[in-house]
Amino acid sequence: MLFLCSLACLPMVSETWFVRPDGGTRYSSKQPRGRCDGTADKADPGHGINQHCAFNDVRYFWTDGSYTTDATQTAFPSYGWIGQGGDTYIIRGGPWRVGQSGPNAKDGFGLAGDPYSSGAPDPPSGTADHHTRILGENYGSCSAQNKTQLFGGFGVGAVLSLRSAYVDVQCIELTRHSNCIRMGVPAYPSNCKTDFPLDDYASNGIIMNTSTHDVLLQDMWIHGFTSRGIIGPIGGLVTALRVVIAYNGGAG
Amino acid sequence: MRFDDGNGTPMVHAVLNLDHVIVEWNGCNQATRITEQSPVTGKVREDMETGLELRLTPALPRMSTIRYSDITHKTALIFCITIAVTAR
Repeated sequence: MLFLCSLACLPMVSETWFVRPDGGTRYSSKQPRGRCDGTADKADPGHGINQHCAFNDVRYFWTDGSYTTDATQTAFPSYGWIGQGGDTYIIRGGPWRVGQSGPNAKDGFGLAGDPYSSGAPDPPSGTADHHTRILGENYGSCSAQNKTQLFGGFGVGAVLSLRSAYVDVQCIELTRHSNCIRMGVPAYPSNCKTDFPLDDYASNGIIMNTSTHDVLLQDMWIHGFTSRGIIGPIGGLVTALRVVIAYNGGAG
Repeated sequence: MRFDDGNGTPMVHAVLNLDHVIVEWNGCNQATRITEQSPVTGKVREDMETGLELRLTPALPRMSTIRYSDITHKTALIFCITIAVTAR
């Protein structure tokens, strides 16, 4: 039984991961010159590799930037969240881009050739006692003015996938930085260009499915997407506390 | 919120708890009625198509071009709700 538990049970000690503007690049087996391991709330020291310092891009939470065409966890560390269920991910600064880095086919960040799937993949599920937590830095005193912004772009299908369980997302604004539309007539100011070179748009804020349960969305502002703020069925309890979903082209 | 992924995937034991949530100014917010006899099935819908239990404490769906909160929308079976929820 103990052996089985050692295989199946989540570790009791969770890790906290950090992103901040003065952090560094991510170290991994595929990025051996990366500066930071992401486990300390510290700036890039400016020398060395695999230092205890924060990442300097929120996408380092789910990609080390190395080439892959596989958007699943099996591609780790090229794609898939670093850490384990029950871990905490703290995002300082921002706004932070989610999706590929530019409008062209070769502008992928980690995931190549599929800008539409380049959003944050499903975070690792926590447990009832230890939720996985994705937190804007002001989660302890969150207000309308101090949310951490994640903005999707260049055709990304969803900024955040939450096809997971026992996950909390707090004090985060989800949006995009463009005005093109994909729904409605007339197309004002213009239709989004959905092939290369892409317009800098994002379709949905959050995608869920029937694996989604025991998820908390707290202190969030989800706005401006060409399609939906939140899309997909759910498979259990989803709680939204102090959430505003507005100005999305398809539905809230 | 659109709970149809495009495949009409049913929800089972789904509970949506909206507490101080505002859904507004979205382009198209279809939804099933919370309690009304369905002209399709003849049954009280009560979100039976999706198996969703909805809790509003309080939530404020408003000012979207079709109707209110986009709760339990299904592509092939579009119903709209008209619910007035007053913030406490």
